[in-house]
Amino acid sequence: MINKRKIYILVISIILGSFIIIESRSFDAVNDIILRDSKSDVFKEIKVLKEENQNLRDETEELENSLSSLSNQDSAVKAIQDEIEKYNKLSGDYIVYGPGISISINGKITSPWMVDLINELFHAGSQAVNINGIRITNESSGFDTLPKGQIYLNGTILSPPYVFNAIGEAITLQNALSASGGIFDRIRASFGGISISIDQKDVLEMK
Amino acid sequence: MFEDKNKKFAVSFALTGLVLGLLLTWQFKTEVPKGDTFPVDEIDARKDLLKSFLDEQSYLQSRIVFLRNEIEKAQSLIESRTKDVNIETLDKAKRKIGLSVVEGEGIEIVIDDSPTASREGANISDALLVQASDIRDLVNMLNAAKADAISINNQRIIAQSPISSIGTSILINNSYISPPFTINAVGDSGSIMQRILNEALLPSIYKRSKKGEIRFKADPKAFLSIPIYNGDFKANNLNIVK
Repeated sequence: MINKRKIYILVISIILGSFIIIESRSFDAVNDIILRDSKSDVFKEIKVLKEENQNLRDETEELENSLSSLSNQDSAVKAIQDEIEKYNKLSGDYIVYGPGISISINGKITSPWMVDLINELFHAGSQAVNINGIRITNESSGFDTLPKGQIYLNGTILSPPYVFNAIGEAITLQNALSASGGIFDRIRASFGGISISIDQKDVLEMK
Repeated sequence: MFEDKNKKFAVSFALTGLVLGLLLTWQFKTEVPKGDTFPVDEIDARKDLLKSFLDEQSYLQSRIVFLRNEIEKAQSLIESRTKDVNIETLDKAKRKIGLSVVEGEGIEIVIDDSPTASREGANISDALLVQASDIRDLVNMLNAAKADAISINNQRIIAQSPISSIGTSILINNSYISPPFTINAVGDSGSIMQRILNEALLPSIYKRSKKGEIRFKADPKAFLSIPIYNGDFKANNLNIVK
């Protein structure tokens, strides 16, 4: 009887020990993979560069048109006014509206992930972004972490739920963020028990 | 005595079973995010394709800067002929979005891969390479230190500038840039340096730099010049509330 018990205990201990080792190796593998940056993808790289070159060609064409319209005084005045309006939309000095997405993150995340999410939103083509009502512009200060771990932006402590609004092509933005292995998956993998929801909006308004 | 022993055995058996069950559940609930592989035979094809895109990109970026300068000259001429345009308002708007050169004191940061590391090949160690997230953390910290303007390898960084990586390539404003990465920031060099030297604010960079995995240094500079943004602006989805 005692011998049988000893054998049971030995077998169970071996199984238990094996599981602990498998578990620990599996967590190491996960930690290696949860990087803040995406892994290699040649096709994605080419796609991004191709799209960017097209954007640069469009910008060049637009600037060439602006330059030619400046040769005529009437069209020049209109061209300058249009240019001012375009820059005003981007500057953050005016209230803007447009289609886009609203993301809500329920749970605590850290400031590097906020930086990463905003980066992904602009990378996916957002034209204006705010977080908990604070618009990200050239005059925004960066994200700071206060001694108690709170996230501080433009003189305001941010608390969950963190609501990120982004104006741009809603479907494109949603697809880019929700992609498998994308920013949402990486945030979920880094912070257990967090919930992320995303809604497409016909009209979003941003101060 | 014998029954006590049996009870103890049963309890320890149940507990062990419980622990085993928990471990099994834990194991199978662990989700590994999907990653991609980087086959060696893709490297050459990638190189050739990238080169053609990057050559075109450099040409287009310099063309954009040239056209913006030409437009500025033409606008100044128009202003001298009519009072209907306000170039001062235009200049103010341009300054806000990164379309004017910014000069002054500041700091220069140089961050580079390990001398033994390579960004090409099948066996790449992430720890030995500067990551896009390292650059994002530095830019965020410079913004938090109220830098007036920032550039990376002479590319102006604006709020909308994505700093991302695809595999081992780092893209800034969706343009490919190579190490070493020189980050210039115009602003109060004293307060910026104070933050840069705070290891708690950049734990991963300092940790890897101390282990010799990456190279990192920052120096105050009496004069720096940050160029204008040379990328595209899209505002077709934005409407101003009148």
